[in-house]
Amino acid sequence: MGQAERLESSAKLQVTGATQPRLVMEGISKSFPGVQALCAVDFDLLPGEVHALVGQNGAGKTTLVKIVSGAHPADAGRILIEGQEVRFHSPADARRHGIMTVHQDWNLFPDLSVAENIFAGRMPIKASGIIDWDRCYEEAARELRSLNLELDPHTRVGLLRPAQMQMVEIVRCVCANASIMILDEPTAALGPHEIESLFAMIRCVVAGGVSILYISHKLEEIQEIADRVTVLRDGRKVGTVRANEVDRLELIRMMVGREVEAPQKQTVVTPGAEILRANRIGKSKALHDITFSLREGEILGVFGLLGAGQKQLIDVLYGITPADRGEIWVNGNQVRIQSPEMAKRLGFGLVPGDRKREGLVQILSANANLTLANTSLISFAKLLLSPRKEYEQGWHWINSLDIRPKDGGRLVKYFSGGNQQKVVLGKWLQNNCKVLILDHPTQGVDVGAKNEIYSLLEELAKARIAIILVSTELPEILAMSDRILVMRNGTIAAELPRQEATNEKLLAYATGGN
Amino acid sequence: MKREGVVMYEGTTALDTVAAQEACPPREEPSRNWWALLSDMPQIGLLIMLAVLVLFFALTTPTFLTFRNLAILAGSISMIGIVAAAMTLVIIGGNLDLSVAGIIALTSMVVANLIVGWQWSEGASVVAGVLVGLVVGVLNGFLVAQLGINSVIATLATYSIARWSAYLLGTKGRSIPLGYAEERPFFDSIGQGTVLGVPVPFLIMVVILTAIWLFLTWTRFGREFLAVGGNSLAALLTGISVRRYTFFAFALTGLCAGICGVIFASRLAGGYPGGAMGWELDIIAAVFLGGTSLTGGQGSILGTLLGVIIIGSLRNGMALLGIDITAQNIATGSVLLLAVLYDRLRRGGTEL
Repeated sequence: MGQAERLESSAKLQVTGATQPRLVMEGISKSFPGVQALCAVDFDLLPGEVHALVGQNGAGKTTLVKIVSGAHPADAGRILIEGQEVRFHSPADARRHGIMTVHQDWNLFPDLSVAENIFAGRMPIKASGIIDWDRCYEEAARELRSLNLELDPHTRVGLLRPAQMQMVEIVRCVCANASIMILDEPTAALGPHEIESLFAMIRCVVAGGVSILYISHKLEEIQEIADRVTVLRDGRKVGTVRANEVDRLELIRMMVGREVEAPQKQTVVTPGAEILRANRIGKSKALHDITFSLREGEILGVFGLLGAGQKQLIDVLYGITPADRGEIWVNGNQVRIQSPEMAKRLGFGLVPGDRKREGLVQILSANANLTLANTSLISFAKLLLSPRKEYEQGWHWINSLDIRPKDGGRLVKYFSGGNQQKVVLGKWLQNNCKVLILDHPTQGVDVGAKNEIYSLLEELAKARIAIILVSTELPEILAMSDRILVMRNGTIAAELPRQEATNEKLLAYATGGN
Repeated sequence: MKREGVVMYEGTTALDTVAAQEACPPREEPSRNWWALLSDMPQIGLLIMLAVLVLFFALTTPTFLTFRNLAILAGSISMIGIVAAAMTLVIIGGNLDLSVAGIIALTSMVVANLIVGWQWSEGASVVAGVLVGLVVGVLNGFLVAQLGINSVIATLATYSIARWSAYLLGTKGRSIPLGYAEERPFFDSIGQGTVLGVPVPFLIMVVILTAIWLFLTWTRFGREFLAVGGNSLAALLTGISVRRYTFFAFALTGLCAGICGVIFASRLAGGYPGGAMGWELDIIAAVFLGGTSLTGGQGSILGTLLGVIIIGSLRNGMALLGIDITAQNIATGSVLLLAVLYDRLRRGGTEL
């Protein structure tokens, strides 16, 4: 960490000038049940500066942003704006102090015009109390011109391209006298040209004195647009550096840390016969040319930054939104997977990312959930439910997966996150699945249960189940996978065997470039 | 950050189930103490409500608790009850079926028309009537499950279609009286007959309620159905065909509305295009009152039965007190509102 500190102090030397920081956050801490999300983090923002915040998923970026924008209160630490200490009780408080967020999912009104969106809630009004439409469109046109945007204020927002929508939202913040603007992954949905014009606009806005807190996974972009970069890792600040003085690998090293102690897969299973093969599958614009194979007893890690197409890959493999290009082969037979029902019949199982919403039926008991994928196993004559069979089968999985408490009759919503996840897993084991797809299986699960899930995955691999592990958590992917696919922009950027994969390599492929 | 190494299971592996299996303790049978069972029942509030109603009407009218009146009550609630039983499934699945009253009217017109106009036999006419209900139900199911149209809109449309088709069947929109001159032993007994003093429609209702209760509680399909209602996304991702169950619920409701329409035609001895007006309100109110919730996938057939009895008693008692139909309808509307508010309170949430 010595180098990071050196970089930080050199950065401090250069920025401490006459200018007073617009925003200072000192010693911000925040914990959620079971997680210390932020630990004594300092952050500051100068007038007319773009300050980027980077870190892996779970590093605390989102929590910090939520605290700045008034969505969460901090447990400790203070926030100063223009030297004055402030306390935010709600996002409205933060907005009153000029802090505005441009969200990933733009909250614009698609059926209203550009001008109406810009002035939404603050329409210019005539003395008589009715809306002054002329002034509304004139002022909107003036604002657009001053930011070099060629947009007709009369256009319906729903007809704009994503980049233009984003710009309308930025104009809206500027017009509302934002002094601090938070851009959260602003380029996630944009193409290269659009990114260029967005950056031109950001430069324009910054020249007008607005400060921007910029969050992105894309390190190249950050180096292009940001003045300074603050790196967070595991809820702590690693350091703040000047963007033009640091190279990308150094940033990655700061994000990852030097000594990542990850759980290590203990055993290597010799993979068996090929069970699944995808040949150039694709889905509309979201997924292209996905080719891979999977063998029995193998754990295939799928890594990528958020929105790199992993979700779409799962949807296609599991039949939620069937593929429209390419071939899928299961056990040597070409198949078309049209629905989850069909996927289940082919031996697939899915442990979804959002356990509560997608994995469990909360109003049913743990036993009922454990046996839901194959209810014929708990019935007489494949029709009548047998409470005894349900109880015995439930007990079997509660016992083998060590689900606590050992009370399957209890509603599943009363179990802890880790135990709920085991219930979802157990459901597929009960159905004797052959290919198990896991989407962020340890999200929101405490460390102890995490390790149990990891060792469970190993056991499943030993039992010759083929596993596709989709995750944005590097240590997890590196520790568990036999082979790793790195996804970027809806396609596979690299395929690496376990021995060749390192933190830096994976992040480099996932962020673009080599 | 420190992480501990992977904790391995000692000795045995997680999947080595035979060896690792702790002996399965015997399943605790649910308590047999009937008082404990009763006080545990979610429907206890309904029972108290019913008791209060019965007591009130027994005290205020001389006739409410007579055998004759109870037989009338049993006959009149059974038509609502038959449809409400199937509607419970629709609502568990998070949908509504507003077309049922239209189906009842249409079925009564079809049956009357076949018997009078086409001189069909009683049996064939009854079967055809029930099939008409099923066809509309299948249409509803197709619109909602296959095309994904919002159920309120879809069934509002089919309600209108069924209701006005019923008017089309009678010349100039008139009803078709069957007259009492002719003897139709089978057809008349459906609505008006009794077995040991119990009205036949009531028996039909008991059979249908029991069948749907058996389905929901004791078959694996009922279990999957509850899962669909409880969390349709999770059910879908568990490989359960949400569509098929939604379709099934609507088709069954259509079928039951068809049966109800035949009973209606038999009781009133004719087809009435304007008949069963507003019944969907009583039916849906009974289901909500019974504790089935649009959002939760929870529902009980026993609750629905109690809801049906409460609404039927309310109407019957008010009629005995000489309160006219207009005020009765206002009262049922209020009961529906109260049932929904009660449901919200019970959930303890104020969110919509």
